[in-house]
Amino acid sequence: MIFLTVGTYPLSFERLVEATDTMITKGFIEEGVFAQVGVCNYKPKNMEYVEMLQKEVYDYYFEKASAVISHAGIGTIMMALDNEKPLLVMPRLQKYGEVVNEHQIATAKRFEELGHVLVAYTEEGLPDKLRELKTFVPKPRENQAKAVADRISKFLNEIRISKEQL
Amino acid sequence: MQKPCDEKKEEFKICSGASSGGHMNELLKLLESSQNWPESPAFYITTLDALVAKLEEKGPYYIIGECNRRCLLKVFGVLIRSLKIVVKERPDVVITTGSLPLAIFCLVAKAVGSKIVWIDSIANIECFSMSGRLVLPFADLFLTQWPELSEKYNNVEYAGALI
Repeated sequence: MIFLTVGTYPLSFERLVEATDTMITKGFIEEGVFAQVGVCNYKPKNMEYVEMLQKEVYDYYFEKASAVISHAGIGTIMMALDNEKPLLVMPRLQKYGEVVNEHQIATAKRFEELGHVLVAYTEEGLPDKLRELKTFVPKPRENQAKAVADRISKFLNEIRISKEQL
Repeated sequence: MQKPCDEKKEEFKICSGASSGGHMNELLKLLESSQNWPESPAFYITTLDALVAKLEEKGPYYIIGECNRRCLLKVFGVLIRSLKIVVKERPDVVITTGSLPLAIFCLVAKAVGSKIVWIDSIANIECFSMSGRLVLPFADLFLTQWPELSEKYNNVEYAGALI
Protein backbone atom coordinates (compact mmCIF):
# COMPACT_ATOMS: atom_id res chain seq x y z
CA MET A 1 0.00 0.00 0.00
CA ILE A 2 1.16 3.50 -0.86
CA PHE A 3 0.06 6.22 1.54
CA LEU A 4 -0.68 9.60 -0.01
CA THR A 5 -0.91 12.58 2.30
CA VAL A 6 -1.08 16.33 1.82
CA GLY A 7 -0.27 16.87 5.49
CA THR A 8 -2.34 18.79 8.03
CA TYR A 9 -1.88 22.05 6.16
CA PRO A 10 -5.06 24.14 6.06
CA LEU A 11 -4.79 24.95 2.34
CA SER A 12 -5.82 22.46 -0.31
CA PHE A 13 -3.37 20.56 -2.49
CA GLU A 14 -5.67 18.99 -5.06
CA ARG A 15 -2.96 19.06 -7.71
CA LEU A 16 -1.09 16.21 -6.00
CA VAL A 17 -4.23 14.18 -5.30
CA GLU A 18 -5.45 14.49 -8.90
CA ALA A 19 -1.99 13.79 -10.36
CA THR A 20 -1.60 10.67 -8.23
CA ASP A 21 -5.06 9.51 -9.24
CA THR A 22 -4.07 10.00 -12.88
CA MET A 23 -0.85 8.03 -12.32
CA ILE A 24 -2.94 5.08 -11.14
CA THR A 25 -5.15 5.33 -14.22
CA LYS A 26 -2.06 5.38 -16.45
CA GLY A 27 -0.54 2.40 -14.68
CA PHE A 28 2.46 4.13 -13.11
CA ILE A 29 1.26 2.99 -9.69
CA GLU A 30 0.35 -0.68 -9.39
CA GLU A 31 -0.06 -0.85 -5.64
CA GLY A 32 -3.19 0.20 -3.83
CA VAL A 33 -3.21 3.79 -2.62
CA PHE A 34 -4.79 5.13 0.55
CA ALA A 35 -5.00 8.89 0.87
CA GLN A 36 -5.51 11.68 3.35
CA VAL A 37 -6.56 14.40 0.92
CA GLY A 38 -7.26 17.34 3.25
CA VAL A 39 -9.42 20.15 1.91
CA CYS A 40 -10.08 18.81 -1.57
CA ASN A 41 -12.84 19.30 -4.12
CA TYR A 42 -11.41 16.71 -6.47
CA LYS A 43 -12.90 13.26 -5.94
CA PRO A 44 -10.31 10.54 -6.55
CA LYS A 45 -11.56 7.59 -8.63
CA ASN A 46 -8.84 5.03 -8.08
CA MET A 47 -8.06 5.18 -4.41
CA GLU A 48 -9.59 5.02 -1.01
CA TYR A 49 -9.39 8.37 0.69
CA VAL A 50 -10.45 10.42 3.70
CA GLU A 51 -10.25 14.13 4.32
CA MET A 52 -8.42 13.93 7.64
CA LEU A 53 -7.16 11.08 9.82
CA GLN A 54 -6.75 10.94 13.57
CA LYS A 55 -3.08 11.03 14.52
CA GLU A 56 -3.04 7.37 15.60
CA VAL A 57 -4.69 6.23 12.38
CA TYR A 58 -2.39 8.44 10.37
CA ASP A 59 0.62 6.86 12.07
CA TYR A 60 -0.79 3.41 11.41
CA TYR A 61 -1.07 3.98 7.65
CA PHE A 62 2.29 5.70 7.55
CA GLU A 63 4.02 2.77 9.19
CA LYS A 64 2.16 0.19 7.16
CA ALA A 65 2.86 1.81 3.80
CA SER A 66 5.58 0.51 1.51
CA ALA A 67 6.14 4.08 0.36
CA VAL A 68 4.67 7.52 0.97
CA ILE A 69 3.76 10.29 -1.45
CA SER A 70 3.24 13.74 0.05
CA HIS A 71 3.67 17.49 -0.07
CA ALA A 72 7.17 18.72 0.86
CA GLY A 73 6.16 19.48 4.44
CA ILE A 74 8.84 19.17 7.05
CA GLY A 75 6.61 17.13 9.38
CA THR A 76 6.05 14.45 6.77
CA ILE A 77 9.70 14.40 5.72
CA MET A 78 10.74 14.06 9.35
CA MET A 79 8.32 11.23 9.90
CA ALA A 80 9.54 9.41 6.79
CA LEU A 81 13.14 9.71 7.97
CA ASP A 82 12.19 8.44 11.41
CA ASN A 83 10.43 5.44 9.89
CA GLU A 84 13.03 4.94 7.12
CA LYS A 85 10.17 5.15 4.67
CA PRO A 86 10.76 5.82 0.96
CA LEU A 87 9.16 9.21 0.36
CA LEU A 88 8.29 11.02 -2.84
CA VAL A 89 7.36 14.66 -2.37
CA MET A 90 5.83 17.29 -4.59
CA PRO A 91 6.23 20.85 -3.28
CA ARG A 92 3.15 22.96 -2.75
CA LEU A 93 3.40 26.13 -4.83
CA GLN A 94 2.47 29.64 -3.85
CA LYS A 95 1.33 30.52 -7.36
CA TYR A 96 -1.53 28.01 -7.06
CA GLY A 97 -2.46 29.20 -3.58
CA GLU A 98 -1.29 25.91 -2.04
CA VAL A 99 1.06 27.54 0.43
CA VAL A 100 1.93 31.05 1.64
CA ASN A 101 5.50 31.13 0.26
CA GLU A 102 7.81 28.99 -1.82
CA HIS A 103 9.67 27.36 1.07
CA GLN A 104 8.57 23.84 0.10
CA ILE A 105 10.65 24.00 -3.08
CA ALA A 106 13.78 24.76 -1.07
CA THR A 107 12.91 22.06 1.45
CA ALA A 108 12.37 19.50 -1.28
CA LYS A 109 15.59 20.47 -3.05
CA ARG A 110 17.76 20.29 0.06
CA PHE A 111 16.44 16.94 1.27
CA GLU A 112 16.70 15.59 -2.26
CA GLU A 113 20.38 16.64 -2.44
CA LEU A 114 20.99 14.87 0.86
CA GLY A 115 19.50 11.68 -0.57
CA HIS A 116 16.65 11.62 1.93
CA VAL A 117 13.68 11.97 -0.44
CA LEU A 118 12.66 11.85 -4.08
CA VAL A 119 11.11 14.97 -5.57
CA ALA A 120 8.68 15.55 -8.41
CA TYR A 121 8.69 19.33 -8.83
CA THR A 122 5.68 19.16 -11.12
CA GLU A 123 3.06 16.62 -12.14
CA GLU A 124 5.14 15.87 -15.25
CA GLY A 125 7.96 14.60 -13.05
CA LEU A 126 5.81 11.99 -11.34
CA PRO A 127 6.15 9.01 -13.75
CA ASP A 128 9.97 8.96 -13.53
CA LYS A 129 10.03 9.47 -9.79
CA LEU A 130 7.37 6.81 -9.19
CA ARG A 131 9.59 4.37 -11.05
CA GLU A 132 12.54 5.33 -8.82
CA LEU A 133 10.39 5.09 -5.72
CA LYS A 134 10.02 1.34 -6.17
CA THR A 135 13.68 0.76 -5.33
CA PHE A 136 14.52 3.96 -3.46
CA VAL A 137 16.32 3.53 -0.15
CA PRO A 138 16.44 6.85 1.70
CA LYS A 139 19.76 7.87 3.19
CA PRO A 140 19.38 7.80 6.98
CA ARG A 141 19.82 11.08 8.80
CA GLU A 142 22.17 11.51 11.70
CA ASN A 143 20.37 12.87 14.75
CA GLN A 144 21.92 16.12 15.94
CA ALA A 145 19.19 17.05 18.41
CA LYS A 146 21.56 16.28 21.27
CA ALA A 147 24.06 18.88 20.01
CA VAL A 148 21.31 21.50 19.79
CA ALA A 149 19.99 20.62 23.25
CA ASP A 150 23.51 20.85 24.67
CA ARG A 151 24.03 24.31 23.17
CA ILE A 152 20.79 25.42 24.79
CA SER A 153 21.84 23.79 28.04
CA LYS A 154 24.99 25.92 28.06
CA PHE A 155 22.87 29.03 27.54
CA LEU A 156 20.43 28.02 30.28
CA ASN A 157 23.26 27.52 32.75
CA GLU A 158 24.68 30.95 31.88
CA ILE A 159 21.44 32.76 32.51
CA ARG A 160 20.63 30.75 35.60
CA ILE A 161 23.97 31.71 37.11
CA SER A 162 23.51 35.36 36.19
CA LYS A 163 20.06 35.26 37.76
CA GLU A 164 21.42 33.80 41.00
CA GLN A 165 24.02 36.54 41.15
CA LEU A 166 21.35 39.25 41.06
CA MET B 1 -0.88 27.97 47.44
CA GLN B 2 1.22 31.09 47.03
CA LYS B 3 4.89 30.51 47.68
CA PRO B 4 6.84 33.03 49.74
CA CYS B 5 8.69 35.61 47.66
CA ASP B 6 12.24 34.50 48.42
CA GLU B 7 11.50 30.96 47.36
CA LYS B 8 9.93 32.14 44.18
CA LYS B 9 13.02 34.12 43.30
CA GLU B 10 15.15 30.98 43.24
CA GLU B 11 12.87 29.18 40.83
CA PHE B 12 14.26 28.86 37.34
CA LYS B 13 11.28 28.56 35.11
CA ILE B 14 11.55 27.29 31.58
CA CYS B 15 8.67 27.56 29.16
CA SER B 16 8.78 25.58 25.97
CA GLY B 17 6.40 25.81 23.05
CA ALA B 18 5.66 25.32 19.38
CA SER B 19 2.82 25.55 16.90
CA SER B 20 1.01 22.30 16.16
CA GLY B 21 2.44 20.25 13.30
CA GLY B 22 6.04 20.25 12.11
CA HIS B 23 7.15 22.88 14.62
CA MET B 24 5.90 20.71 17.46
CA ASN B 25 7.65 17.64 16.05
CA GLU B 26 10.89 19.59 16.04
CA LEU B 27 10.36 20.72 19.60
CA LEU B 28 9.61 17.19 20.78
CA LYS B 29 12.85 16.03 19.15
CA LEU B 30 14.70 18.70 21.08
CA LEU B 31 13.02 17.82 24.36
CA GLU B 32 13.92 14.16 23.92
CA SER B 33 17.57 15.20 24.12
CA SER B 34 17.22 17.78 26.89
CA GLN B 35 18.34 15.63 29.84
CA ASN B 36 21.27 17.98 30.49
CA TRP B 37 19.12 21.07 30.96
CA PRO B 38 19.29 22.49 34.49
CA GLU B 39 15.50 22.22 34.74
CA SER B 40 12.77 20.58 32.71
CA PRO B 41 10.25 23.01 31.25
CA ALA B 42 7.76 24.06 33.91
CA PHE B 43 5.02 24.47 31.33
CA TYR B 44 4.35 24.24 27.61
CA ILE B 45 2.66 26.34 24.94
CA THR B 46 0.97 25.18 21.77
CA THR B 47 -1.57 26.52 19.32
CA LEU B 48 -4.30 23.92 18.79
CA ASP B 49 -5.94 21.52 21.17
CA ALA B 50 -5.52 18.73 18.61
CA LEU B 51 -2.34 16.67 18.98
CA VAL B 52 -1.61 17.75 22.56
CA ALA B 53 -1.38 14.13 23.74
CA LYS B 54 2.41 14.19 23.71
CA LEU B 55 2.54 17.44 25.65
CA GLU B 56 0.01 16.25 28.18
CA GLU B 57 2.47 13.57 29.30
CA LYS B 58 5.16 16.16 29.87
CA GLY B 59 3.43 18.71 32.02
CA PRO B 60 0.94 21.55 32.17
CA TYR B 61 0.30 23.30 28.88
CA TYR B 62 -1.55 26.29 27.51
CA ILE B 63 -3.17 26.74 24.12
CA ILE B 64 -2.72 30.20 22.62
CA GLY B 65 -4.54 29.61 19.31
CA GLU B 66 -3.42 29.79 15.70
CA CYS B 67 -2.95 32.95 13.72
CA ASN B 68 -1.30 34.19 10.58
CA ARG B 69 -0.27 37.57 9.31
CA ARG B 70 -3.41 37.89 7.21
CA CYS B 71 -5.83 37.90 10.10
CA LEU B 72 -5.07 40.64 12.59
CA LEU B 73 -8.00 39.76 14.79
CA LYS B 74 -6.54 36.31 15.45
CA VAL B 75 -3.11 37.86 16.02
CA PHE B 76 -4.74 40.04 18.65
CA GLY B 77 -6.37 36.99 20.26
CA VAL B 78 -3.01 35.23 20.51
CA LEU B 79 -1.47 38.39 21.94
CA ILE B 80 -4.08 38.64 24.70
CA ARG B 81 -3.86 34.94 25.61
CA SER B 82 -0.05 35.16 25.64
CA LEU B 83 -0.15 38.19 27.89
CA LYS B 84 -2.35 36.41 30.42
CA ILE B 85 -0.06 33.38 30.54
CA VAL B 86 3.15 35.40 30.73
CA VAL B 87 1.85 37.58 33.56
CA LYS B 88 0.70 34.53 35.48
CA GLU B 89 3.75 32.31 34.90
CA ARG B 90 6.65 34.75 34.48
CA PRO B 91 9.01 32.32 32.74
CA ASP B 92 12.76 33.00 32.95
CA VAL B 93 13.28 31.49 29.52
CA VAL B 94 11.11 30.68 26.55
CA ILE B 95 12.44 27.98 24.20
CA THR B 96 10.57 27.60 20.93
CA THR B 97 10.77 26.27 17.40
CA GLY B 98 8.10 28.74 16.14
CA SER B 99 5.95 29.80 14.39
CA LEU B 100 4.11 33.17 14.36
CA PRO B 101 1.88 32.59 17.43
CA LEU B 102 5.00 31.62 19.39
CA ALA B 103 6.84 34.67 18.05
CA ILE B 104 4.05 36.79 19.52
CA PHE B 105 4.35 34.87 22.77
CA CYS B 106 8.11 35.55 22.77
CA LEU B 107 7.53 39.25 22.18
CA VAL B 108 5.21 39.44 25.17
CA ALA B 109 7.53 37.34 27.35
CA LYS B 110 10.54 39.45 26.40
CA ALA B 111 8.62 42.56 27.45
CA VAL B 112 8.42 41.21 31.01
CA GLY B 113 12.07 40.14 31.05
CA SER B 114 12.13 36.52 29.84
CA LYS B 115 15.10 35.34 27.84
CA ILE B 116 14.24 34.00 24.41
CA VAL B 117 15.69 30.94 22.70
CA TRP B 118 14.45 30.64 19.15
CA ILE B 119 15.26 27.66 16.96
CA ASP B 120 14.20 28.48 13.45
CA SER B 121 12.42 25.61 11.74
CA ILE B 122 14.40 23.26 9.54
CA ALA B 123 11.82 24.09 6.87
CA ASN B 124 13.49 27.48 6.44
CA ILE B 125 16.47 26.72 4.32
CA GLU B 126 17.27 29.79 2.25
CA CYS B 127 16.04 32.49 4.60
CA PHE B 128 14.40 32.70 7.97
CA SER B 129 10.68 32.50 8.44
CA MET B 130 8.79 35.75 8.87
CA SER B 131 8.30 34.88 12.52
CA GLY B 132 12.04 34.17 12.84
CA ARG B 133 12.85 37.58 11.39
CA LEU B 134 10.43 39.13 13.86
CA VAL B 135 12.16 37.47 16.81
CA LEU B 136 15.79 37.83 15.61
CA PRO B 137 16.30 41.43 16.85
CA PHE B 138 15.41 40.55 20.43
CA ALA B 139 16.21 36.83 20.76
CA ASP B 140 18.89 35.98 23.33
CA LEU B 141 19.90 32.81 21.52
CA PHE B 142 18.89 32.35 17.91
CA LEU B 143 19.70 28.99 16.33
CA THR B 144 19.33 27.93 12.73
CA GLN B 145 19.34 24.32 11.58
CA TRP B 146 21.29 25.05 8.40
CA PRO B 147 24.97 26.08 8.57
CA GLU B 148 24.63 28.26 5.46
CA LEU B 149 22.14 30.52 7.23
CA SER B 150 24.34 31.13 10.26
CA GLU B 151 26.98 32.55 7.93
CA LYS B 152 24.50 34.99 6.42
CA TYR B 153 23.51 36.65 9.68
CA ASN B 154 25.24 37.97 12.75
CA ASN B 155 23.99 36.68 16.11
CA VAL B 156 22.75 33.48 14.54
CA GLU B 157 24.30 30.17 15.49
CA TYR B 158 24.23 26.72 14.00
CA ALA B 159 24.54 23.91 16.52
CA GLY B 160 23.03 21.10 14.45
CA ALA B 161 19.65 20.12 13.10
CA LEU B 162 16.79 18.65 15.10
CA ILE B 163 16.03 16.08 12.43
